[in-house]
This record gives sequence, structure tokens and C-alpha cells, in this order.
Amino acid sequence: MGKLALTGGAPLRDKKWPSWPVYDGAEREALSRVQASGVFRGGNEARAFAAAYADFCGARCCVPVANGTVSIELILRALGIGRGDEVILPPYTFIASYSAICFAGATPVFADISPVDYNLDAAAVERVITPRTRAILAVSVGGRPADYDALSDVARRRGLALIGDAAQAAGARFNGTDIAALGTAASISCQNSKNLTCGEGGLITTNDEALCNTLTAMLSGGDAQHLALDSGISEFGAAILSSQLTRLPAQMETRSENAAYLDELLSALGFVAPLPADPRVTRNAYHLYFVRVLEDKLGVSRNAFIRAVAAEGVPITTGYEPLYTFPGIKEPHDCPTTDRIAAHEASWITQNALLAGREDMRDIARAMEKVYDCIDELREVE
Amino acid sequence: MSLLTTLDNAWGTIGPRMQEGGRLFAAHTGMANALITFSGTSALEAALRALCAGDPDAEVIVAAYGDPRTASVAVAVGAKVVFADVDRETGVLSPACAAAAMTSHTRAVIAETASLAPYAALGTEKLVAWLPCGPVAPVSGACAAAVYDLGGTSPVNIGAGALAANDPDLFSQMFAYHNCGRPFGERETLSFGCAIIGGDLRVAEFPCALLPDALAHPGCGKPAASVRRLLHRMPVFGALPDDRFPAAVFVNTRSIA
Repeated sequence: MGKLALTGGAPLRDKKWPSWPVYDGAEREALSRVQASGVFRGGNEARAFAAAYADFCGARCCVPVANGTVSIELILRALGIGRGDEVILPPYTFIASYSAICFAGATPVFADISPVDYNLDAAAVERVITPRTRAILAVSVGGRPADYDALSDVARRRGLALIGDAAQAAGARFNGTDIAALGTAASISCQNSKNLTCGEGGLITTNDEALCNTLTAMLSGGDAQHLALDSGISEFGAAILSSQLTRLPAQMETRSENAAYLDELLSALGFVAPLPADPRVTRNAYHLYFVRVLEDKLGVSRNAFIRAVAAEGVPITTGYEPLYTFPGIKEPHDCPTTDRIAAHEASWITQNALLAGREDMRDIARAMEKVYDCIDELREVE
Repeated sequence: MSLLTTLDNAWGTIGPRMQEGGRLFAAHTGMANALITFSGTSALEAALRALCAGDPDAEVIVAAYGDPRTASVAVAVGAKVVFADVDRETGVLSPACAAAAMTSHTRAVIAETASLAPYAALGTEKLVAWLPCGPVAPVSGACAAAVYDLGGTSPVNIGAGALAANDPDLFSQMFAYHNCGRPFGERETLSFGCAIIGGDLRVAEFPCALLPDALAHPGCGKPAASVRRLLHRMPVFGALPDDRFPAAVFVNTRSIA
């Protein structure tokens, strides 16, 4: 029996990581309040939360919706983007970014990501713009804001909408501004795993009042110009979010502190690295903490290394496969950076682990060190 | 499983109450399979996406007078909406008019009624019963899917939607369309072998926790009424003359059958 947990040894850690979501009597009271009201859609809870979140993020308008996928679709429909139009997106993201574009009737077009932040590379975006391009869907993957300076410049010069897919980025800031208040509009997910959650929910934020009015019309039974789509958030969801929003600032602070400490610990190891810092990222939401695995320093594959670290009790995984590898996706692509990062470099730790303590962050580094020290053993079972 | 105990399990993404709600709803409606979605229109969307899949020229027949959401959802899924007239006596889609509107691209026929026998000749594999006002009960006659709005206009109001279907393959596709392309049983995988590009039409756990009690309510098997169903000859209105029909007051109550 080897020393690695993967080969039958004792794991470095068996202590549990913080559970998610976090809740107490406030959430119970929220549910009871809605149940007693008998109003389960389109009521005061949604209106109250919309105002609270607009105030929190600094956007002019917030429209709570059913989830962070229909939110993107609704933004596109409200902007009149659909059949015959193209929307540029990164291939390193969850399927929802792609399916929302399809559901709106538009055509997704992949552009490569940057190796610096794993988000859309502005130069790659420019290379795939055609006369049919109407929008850029800028995913802020893992909660790290996309390069809004560069992407806004492209959008402005080329007359495109800049839509933020901030599904994982509630509270993230770029150059001091919440990304929910940047671009044409933003979409945020409140799904079960997200940093601001109600199980299933989503938010649309925008500073464009006309866009806001269109969205409201679509969600309120439609009218002569707009489809009637019942995609508003549940009152239960909105009530839960109102309570969860009060917890978010402190949780973001804890995640940021732990992420900074983890950056320090991992940078010292030499065979893994955090994503490079960018002073314009004034707040990373850290829904995912990315760990760059340096295969050339390890001498084993990223997959084998991460499998071994996970077996030691660390909640780490290898992350996304590029969307164009999915069976139903046929769009052409030229994304060598995405290919390399998805296959050989990226791994992530989910946000709830960043709510633990400094000792737990040291366990993450220790687990990686243990695997590195036993690398010969790992090579034998790879 | 009470509402408050939902907090102790997963809050969303195909949780235990959603799954139990599907089983309960299937049993309640006499169909083999059912799933709960975040709204009635999202349930209708899942049904239409599955029925219209693979045909870029898909057509959906809807009644020219009725719930506008039928047409909205058909447009939303990229189908061509074909309007057909209603039957003056029933107020719902005329089977004869629907038959006349059918073409080789007709993929779905939406009838706002639980009495489906008159539509059998249209092809039950295309028929969708859309029941925004209930009854939340078995439909009479075969169909591809029965879709229910479980919102404020319904006798079962939990702020959600539901669809029920017998064909396992069709239901499987509907499920995948509603769950990001993931087949049943896969909650949070990041990559999946299913070729369906699905959206997110999922319901959170909280509304599903209300479903058992809501389905046990004696009124759930009766349709709620709406102005679209208020016909000038309904006894409750004392046989209003035809020219007074447009002035009839909107009524939404479980007590009117």
C-alpha cells in the first residue's frame, strides 16, 4: 500500500468542508412569510429584492427571473437578437451560456479565451466578428471579471451589445464597479451552488431603462410587441435571496481573504500556480478558485495529479471541457488556448471551501505537497 | 416533507421534492411520467421543444382565441404559429379547423381542454393538452403531453408548472430540454453525452414542497374559470344574450365547474 490515498493510503484530511447553502431562522421565516401570503409568483418579495439588489450592485434596474439561463435568453430577446444573428461567447463555460443563445434563436460563435484569466480574449473576439454579429457574451468564469476594458472597446467600436454572463460572479467588481452595472446588461445565476442562491433563480441587471421596460413587459403577460414568457422568479426564491443578500458581503470577504492566502501558499510550491493577479479586478467573486497545474513541473498529467489531490480530501476537480466537444455542438472553432487549458492546466476548488479557515487552506497546500512528494508512486498508477 | 425542511436538503437542481413531485403528479394525472417546472409556460416549452426538434420548419397549431402564451411559447421555440378557429359551443380549438390547418410540418396541436377525444383524428402523437386553469386531473383521451400551469389561474397554485407524458422516449427528451440537456438522474455533471442542447426550466424545491397538499385539495379536479371560458350560454350567467357576452365579468374560482 502506497502513501497516497489514491493507492490505498490514509487521506491527508477527512474533515468536512463547509456545507452550502448557509441559512438559519431568517430563511425559515422567509419561506413561512411567502406561504402565508398565498402569492407564489410576481409579488412583493420579487419587487423588494429587485430594489435591494439594484442598490447593492449599483445598476439602475434589476429584474429577478427564474434562473441564470433564461436571463441570458431574455436579454437577447429583449434586444431583438435572434434568428440570423450571431453572438460571440467563450467555449470555456457552462453549457447554459451556449444554450441560451440557441434558445433565443441566434447562432453562437466561439472565440478563444485568454490564458491570463480564462475569460474571452478581446483579440480573439475581433477575429470572429462578422456582419451578422450582434453581441458579445462575456462570461466572468469562476467569478473573476472578464476584461471589460478591452471587451467594451471592441463592443463600442463594432456596434455590439456587451452582455455579461455573470452567472458565477455576483458581487464581482472591475475597476471598482460591480460588473452587474457594466455593459449593456448582465445575467446572474442564483442556482443551488452559486454564491448568492435560492436553489433556482436568476437576475438581470442593466442601466438601460428601455431594456428594463421591455423585460418587464415580457414577464408581465406580454403585449402587442413582446412575447408572454412566464419566467419571473418564484416568491420563495426572492424571499430567500433577500435573506441571503445580507450574508453575501461577509462571505465575499472571507472568500477573498482565504483566496489571497491560498495564492501565497500555492505560489510557493512551484508545480501549481494561481491565476495571475490583475489590479483592475477589484473584487473576484471566487465562485471557483482556479489552480493552474503545471504538468511540465510535475511530470504527470493534470488529471492524474488532481485525482490524487482530491483523494487526499480536497474538493478539487478538473473543471470544464470545451463546449465544442459536446455531442450536440457543431459550431466551428479555433481555440488553441481553450484546448490546452481545458486538457492540461485548469482545475478548481468550489466556493464553499473558501468559507473555511486558514488551517483548511494549509491542508489544500499540504495535500498537493504530499502528492508531489509521492509523484513516482502516482506515475506508476497514472 | 414540509416546506421548512426543504432548507435542510438541496434547494434546487432536481432535488428530492421535485422528483417526488413528478411521481406524485404522474400518479395524479394517470400518466406514466411527469415533471415539475418553474412555470406553466416553461412546461409547455419543454413539450414543444421535444415535439418540434429536428424540423426547422416546424408548425404548431393553436387556437386563435385563447391563452396568448400558447402562441408565445411556440414562437419562442422557433416554430411557425398556425392559428385555427375555435368551436363556438366549447370555446376551444375546433377539431375541424385544426385538421384543415395541418400540413406535413405540423409538429404539435395545442388544445386548451382536458377533453381530447374530439382531436384524436389529428394524431395523438402531436396533441398537447394545455390546461392553464386546470382541471389538475387526468385528461380524457390520448395525447403527446398534458401541460398544466400550477400558478395563480390554476386550482392547484404552487407557483410552478407541470407536464405529463406517457411515451418514455418523448418524456426523456422533454426532461433533457428542461435540465440543460442532462438526462434524468444526472444533477450536476458538467459534461454529458446527450446530444440535446437543453435549457434550464427547472423548479426549485420550495414550490414542490407544497404540491402534496395542493393535490389533495378537493377543488383541484375542477377547472378554475376565466373570461375566455365564460360562454354566453353558461347557466351561472343566466343565459346572457349574445350581445352582452363581452361585458361579462372575469371570474376565477374553484366553485364553478
